[in-house]
Amino acid sequence: MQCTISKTNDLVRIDLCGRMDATTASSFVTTCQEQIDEGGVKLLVDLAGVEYMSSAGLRGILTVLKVSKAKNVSIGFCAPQPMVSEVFKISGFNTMMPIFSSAEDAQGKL
Amino acid sequence: MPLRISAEVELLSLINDYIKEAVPAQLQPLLPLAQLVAEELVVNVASYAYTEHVGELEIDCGMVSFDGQNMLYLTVRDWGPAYNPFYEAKTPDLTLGMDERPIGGLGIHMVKQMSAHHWYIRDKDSNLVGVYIEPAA
Repeated sequence: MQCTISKTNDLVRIDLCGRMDATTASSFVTTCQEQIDEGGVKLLVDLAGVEYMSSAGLRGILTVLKVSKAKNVSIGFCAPQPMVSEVFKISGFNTMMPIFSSAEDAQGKL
Repeated sequence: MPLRISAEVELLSLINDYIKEAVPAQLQPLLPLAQLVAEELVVNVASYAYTEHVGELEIDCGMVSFDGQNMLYLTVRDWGPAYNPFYEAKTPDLTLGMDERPIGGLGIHMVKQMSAHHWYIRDKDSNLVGVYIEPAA
């Protein structure tokens, strides 16, 4: 899985691409942790390139959500593909965290 | 033909490749679900079946006609102590907020949700878990 970082003002955007599974989810956590440690106050995770997510991906997301809250970092997710949306739905994650339809839709809402 | 390998999460790509080959063309839309179910069951075996050594698991996948409906079947066998994940795994509370949610515990829940049927048998000295995944209506 690839993580691409871009920064605009106080917003850190993390574009993910590939599969978020038991062998790759930890790299997502590490990337987010690094951005939080570097002082990021708003994180937007773009999931448009994520074709697959398992419970290991959810575990990584929940870890990042808890770290973000502890550090007063605002975090949101956007543009999940249908498979990822289904995983969010059956795990209840769709009601537990902000999910936007697109990066544009997330503008100004974090 | 089943795939028998060491029960290690790091070998997940081999399992994904096996599932990709095993899913027939007419059920290809089910490939992501089949890989998801396989990953959750394999991670379960790797985490709980063998505590003192790295054992093996055997995975099988293919098409079955079930009451006239073509479905995918997927089985995972391990040689650890008797363990029925569908019975033993706690049912997660999906209404909990982020603060109350424990990390983990969703894998078997997702297997149940993604499959039409699931079953377990203790087969001599092995655990055998199976699921049927049906095409969307």
